[in-house]
Amino acid sequence: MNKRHAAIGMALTLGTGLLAGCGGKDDNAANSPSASASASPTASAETGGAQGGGSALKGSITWATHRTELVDTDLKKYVDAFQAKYPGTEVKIEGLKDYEQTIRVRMAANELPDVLSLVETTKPDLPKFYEPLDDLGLNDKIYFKEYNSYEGKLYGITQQVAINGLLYNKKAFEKAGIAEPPKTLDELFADAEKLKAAGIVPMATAFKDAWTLQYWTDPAEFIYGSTNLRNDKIKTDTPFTTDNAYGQGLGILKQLYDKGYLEKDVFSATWDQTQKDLATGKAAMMYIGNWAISNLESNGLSLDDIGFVPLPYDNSGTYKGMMRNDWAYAVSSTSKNKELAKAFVKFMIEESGDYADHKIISPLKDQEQSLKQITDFMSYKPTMLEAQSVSEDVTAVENKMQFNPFKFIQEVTVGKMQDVFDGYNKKWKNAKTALGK
Amino acid sequence: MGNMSYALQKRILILLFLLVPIALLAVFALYPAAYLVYLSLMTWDGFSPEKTWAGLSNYKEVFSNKEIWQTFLHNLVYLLWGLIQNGLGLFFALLLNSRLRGRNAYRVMLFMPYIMNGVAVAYMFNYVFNSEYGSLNTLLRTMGLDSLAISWFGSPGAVNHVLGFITLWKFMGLNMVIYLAALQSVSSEIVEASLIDGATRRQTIFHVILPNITKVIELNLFLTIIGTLEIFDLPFILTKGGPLGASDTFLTKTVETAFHFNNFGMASAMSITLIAAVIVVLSIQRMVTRRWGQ
Repeated sequence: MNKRHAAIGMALTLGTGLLAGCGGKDDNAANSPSASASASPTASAETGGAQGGGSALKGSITWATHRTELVDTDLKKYVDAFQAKYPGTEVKIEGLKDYEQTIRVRMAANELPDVLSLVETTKPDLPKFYEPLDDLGLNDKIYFKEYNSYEGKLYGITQQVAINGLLYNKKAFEKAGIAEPPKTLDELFADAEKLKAAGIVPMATAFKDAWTLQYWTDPAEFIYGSTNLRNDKIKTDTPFTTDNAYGQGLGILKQLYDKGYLEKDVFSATWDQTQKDLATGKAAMMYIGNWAISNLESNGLSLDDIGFVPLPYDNSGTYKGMMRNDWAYAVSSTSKNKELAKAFVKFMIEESGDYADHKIISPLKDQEQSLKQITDFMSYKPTMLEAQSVSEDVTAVENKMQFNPFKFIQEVTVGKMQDVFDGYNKKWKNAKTALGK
Repeated sequence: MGNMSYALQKRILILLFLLVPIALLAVFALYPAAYLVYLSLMTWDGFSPEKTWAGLSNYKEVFSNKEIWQTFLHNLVYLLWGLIQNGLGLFFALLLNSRLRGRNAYRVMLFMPYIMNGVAVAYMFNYVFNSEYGSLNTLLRTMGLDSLAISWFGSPGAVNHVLGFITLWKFMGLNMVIYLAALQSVSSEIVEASLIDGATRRQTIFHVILPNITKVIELNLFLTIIGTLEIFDLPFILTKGGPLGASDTFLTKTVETAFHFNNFGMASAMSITLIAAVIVVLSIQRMVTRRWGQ
């Protein structure tokens, strides 16, 4: 589904530096042969050789990317650095505006570009379209290995990791007389009341655009204790009840709405406007990914005035944080120059410096985080959960019942929870029975 | 060549000339249409190599799904505005067909919205109808009519009327221009004759001019009805079918089925259903207008 896509497009700003990459280089050369021993030795030898001499890699590849706004600037810089490292190679960048649709058409025509951002298919279809990436030696070092794996093979590496948290404008808090970010759910509501009294929108949601609401299922998964929540639906005919994780988790957003803590007219609140309102202090908080920090910055809010903490979903004083993956790098199974394509993916992950340039979190687990907001977030010692891919069965049923998670959250928030849940339970059960799952 | 009969030569020539247009038609119209029918009988997610035979089950689902049929009610709202649009178009055409000072300037002004890009129109009205920052609500509030300054795109009752109004604004000029052309083709002799016989202006319009342009009225209604059944760009850009599906139209639903839920088989079946619906509605319209014309 489209959960990440809108998010990513906006997560990016400019910057420089390949510093991080230089540190990692020796590491790779040492690690890649050993890690890939289990996969395919020939391929890894070639990749390994290329790391040292840079002479084994020749030819040209095409790299299709969804990050169209960076094609002529940062991405070109990375490609130049790659070509300088491996003389005689050529990487053609192809920025696609309507990325997912374009790639899906090419999938049907069996004409995928060599390197691309992985477009989700059912898991058994992954080997049909994509090349395993196990021999890059990154398997144990990356987040979200499982997300794009099938039968033990890795087909995609997430391009960045996003952490969802409570993003807030420190100046707005100050104006409403709030010194500290909320540490419990009760404090969250109390702070919201203060903000509302000060004429500030306490919690921005960009409700109309709806994709920004998807993160509000995180509290439900926190309460459930794992990110299996959506997939575990398959075990029951009534997945949505007011007293289970869905009811309680979405209940937080619903209470905020019922008490008037969201935007005044939720159906005209868009993401474009919300960014500006958060930056100017017209709105105070939003529950969203860390990538939004750079959006606020580019809207004129100083980095020092941006706070980012875990969302208190109960009053226990313990915290959980949600990590979400992004588009993943993948290599086409029909590529004519797989070695070069793979070397490029490895370069982008380890050496490009992409994460530092764009204030995002590298998919490499041991990459140190420099952004203060992230270290602040981590100082709460939250238990981190990794988002999971939706299982094949659940996807089939959800598509059959035409389940739109964004609209679902909208309906629960403004409607009567019991009625909305009843409606969805009925559709769920019918679709599930029809498919015999 | 020389001993070929004239008739044969003519036939060969005609065939050769027809080859190109028919090939173009086949490649860009007939083949896609046939493929659409084929897809509507399949289960396909849009990218995987295999398509499986589904028979008529896609159609059964389209016809049994209440949510899909409810979207036609939204299209009805557009139809209502479309009829008003035709009335206004005719009214302005009659007005601007008379000797009015500066009528060419008025014609240009009224036709202008039709030339504008649909997406640009959508964005423009997004600013007009925005509940907090929009010009309309600002105007209403300064006039003290705060209770009328509602969330135009946010209330299920209003949203389709707002969108219908925007289509009226955009397409009225087109209707007007077509009516105007028709009015100018009405022979001035019969109009003058009726005036000499003592008919009032109203009588002239209703008994002389309008009966002479029924074909064009029919054409305009035809365009309007097709337009309302196939309305897509405005709700897609402005509301994405929201709030909570209140402004979904049959086509936004079709596109969602195909590209959001990866159900191309059912989306194709919905497209065929829409074509069928258009044919049914238009035949009814033809029957009615023909009777009226006689």
